[in-house]
Amino acid sequence: MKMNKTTTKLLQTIPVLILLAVPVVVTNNYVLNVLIMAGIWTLLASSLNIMIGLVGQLSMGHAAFYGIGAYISGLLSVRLGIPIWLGMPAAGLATTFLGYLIGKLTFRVRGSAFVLVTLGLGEVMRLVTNNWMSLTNGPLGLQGISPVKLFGVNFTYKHYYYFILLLVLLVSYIIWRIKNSRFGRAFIAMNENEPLANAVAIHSERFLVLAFMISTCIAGIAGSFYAHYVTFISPDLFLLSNTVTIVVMVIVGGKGTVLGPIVGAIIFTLLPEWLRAIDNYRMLIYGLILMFSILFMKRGIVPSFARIIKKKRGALHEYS
Amino acid sequence: MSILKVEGVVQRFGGLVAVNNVGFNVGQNEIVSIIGPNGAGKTTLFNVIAGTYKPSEGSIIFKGKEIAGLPAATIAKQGLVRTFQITSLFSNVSVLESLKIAQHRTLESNLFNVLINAPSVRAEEQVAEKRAYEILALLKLENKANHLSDSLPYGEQRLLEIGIALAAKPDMLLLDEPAAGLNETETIELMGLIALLRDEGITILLVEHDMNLVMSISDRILVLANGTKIAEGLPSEIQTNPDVIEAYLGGDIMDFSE
Repeated sequence: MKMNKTTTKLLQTIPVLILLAVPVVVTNNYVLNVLIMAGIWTLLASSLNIMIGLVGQLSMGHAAFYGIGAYISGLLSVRLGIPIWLGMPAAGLATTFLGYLIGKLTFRVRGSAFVLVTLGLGEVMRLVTNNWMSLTNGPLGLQGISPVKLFGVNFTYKHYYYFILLLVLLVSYIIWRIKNSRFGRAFIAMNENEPLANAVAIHSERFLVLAFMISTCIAGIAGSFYAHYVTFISPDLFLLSNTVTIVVMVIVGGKGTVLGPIVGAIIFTLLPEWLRAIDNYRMLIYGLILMFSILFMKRGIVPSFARIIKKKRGALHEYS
Repeated sequence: MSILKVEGVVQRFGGLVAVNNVGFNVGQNEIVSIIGPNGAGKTTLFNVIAGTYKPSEGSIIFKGKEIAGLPAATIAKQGLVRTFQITSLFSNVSVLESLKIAQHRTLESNLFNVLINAPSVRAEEQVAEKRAYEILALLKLENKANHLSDSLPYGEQRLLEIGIALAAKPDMLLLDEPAAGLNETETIELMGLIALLRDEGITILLVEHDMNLVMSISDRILVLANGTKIAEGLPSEIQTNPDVIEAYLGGDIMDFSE
C-alpha cells in the first residue's frame, strides 16, 4: 500500500536538487527568465488548484488577485519607497482579506454567484487601474518599481530564480500539508458531496471561505513578486486571458493534485516559447496540444500517468 | 431521559402541509422507528430534524438545546448525524479516506499546527487512521480500505454510509431507509450492526419500509400518515392498532406500494 520510505524521499529530493542546480549550469538569462516566469505561473496555478481541484469552485478572477497583489506591492514601492520585503506581505494580506470578503458574500448562495463575482472583479479592476490616472498611471502602466535587494545585493536573474523557487517549494509544501490534513479532507468532501459533508459536521461556507483566502493570498504574493521582478506593471495583468491560462494549466496538469498545476504551468510557459520558432502556426499547435490532452487525458496529465502506474498495484486514489 | 424532543413541528411547502403538528420523544439509547405509507412525511420530518429544512413551526430539542432551524453542519457538530435515503458517498475518495473525512467533528488541530506538522497533529492523524480501521473492521470492509467508494458493490456502499455516519462519533443517528435495496442476508447483517451501535450507546431514529426489520429491532414505533402522527407505541401495539391498519390498507388514499 505504501511506497518504500526511502524511495519516496529520493523521488522528492532529486527533482529539488536538479532545480537547485539549474542556475549553476544555465547561465543564459533568457532561459532563466522563462523559468522564473514558469515559477510565477506555478504559484498561480497551484493557488487556483485549491479552488478548482480541492473545493471544486471555479474562480474566474484569479488574475484579479494576481494583479491586485502586483499593484499593491508596486504602488507601495513607487509611491512610498517600500521594498518587496514589506510589500509582499502587504500584498498577501490585502488579497487574503479581499478573498475573505468575496467568499463571505458569494458562498452564502451557491451556484453561479462565485463565478460571476470573480469574473466581474477582474474586469472592474482593469477599468479602475486604467482610469485612475493619478494613482496607477492608467494604461501607461506603473514604472520604476524597485528591483529586489537583500543585504545590499542587487538581485540578478540567478537570485530571482532562487527566490521564486523558494516560494514555489514553500507553497507546494503548504498545499501538500493542507491537503493531507482535516482541512484538505473537508475541502475534498465539499467537492465530492456537499450534503454529506454537512451531515458529518463540515460547515461548507466556513471551509469555502478559508480555501479562497489561502488561494487569493498566494495569488497576491505571486503578483508582488512579478511587480518587483519585471519592475513594470499595467492593467493588462487583469485580462481575462490570464485567468483562462491559469485555469488551463490546472485542468491540463491535473486538478486536485499537488504536482498537476506545477506540470501544467511549466508546459504552458515553455510551450509558447518553443513554438516561437514556427511563429504563425504557434496558436494552432498550442490549440491542438490542448485538445489532445483534454481528449485523451481527461483528468489531466499527472493523474493520467499516476493511474497507469497505480493500476499495476491495484489501488486507485484520486487527489493524490 | 429523552435525548431528542420534537414538539409541534409543522413543515409547509407553499400550501402543502407535509408535516402537521408532529411531536415525540426519543429516549437515551433507544431505537425508535418512523413508519408510514409513501408520502406520509417521514423523510421531510427527518430533513427538518437534521437541519435540511427550517420548520415552519415547532421546536426540536436535542440534548437540552433548541436545534430547529440551525444549519445541518451545526446540528451534526452537536452529535446528531444522519444518513441519506439515496446512497450518498464521497464517490471518488477511497473507503479509508472517506472514514477519515467523516471524523471531522472530533478533530481539532488548527491550520498553523497543520502547516508545521506539529506532534499534536501527527498524533491526531494516527488516532483518526486507527479509528477508521476500527470502523472498517466493524463493517467487515478491511480489505476494501483503498478501494474507491464508488467501486464497492451496492450492499457495501450502504454499509459504508453507516460507517461514515459512525466515524463522526454521533450521540444519535438518523438512518433514512438503511435497508432500501438490500437483500435478505444483507438486511439481517444490517440489523446486527444497528443493534451493535445501540450497545455502544448510540441512540437511533430510523425511517424504514422493511417491516421485519422495524418490528424486530425497534423499542418504539411512530406511525405517520398524511403528515400527522396517527400512532405511537411498542411494535406489538402498532401491529394491532386499527388506525395503522386503516392507514396502510384502506382510507382515503389507496396505496399498495408496501
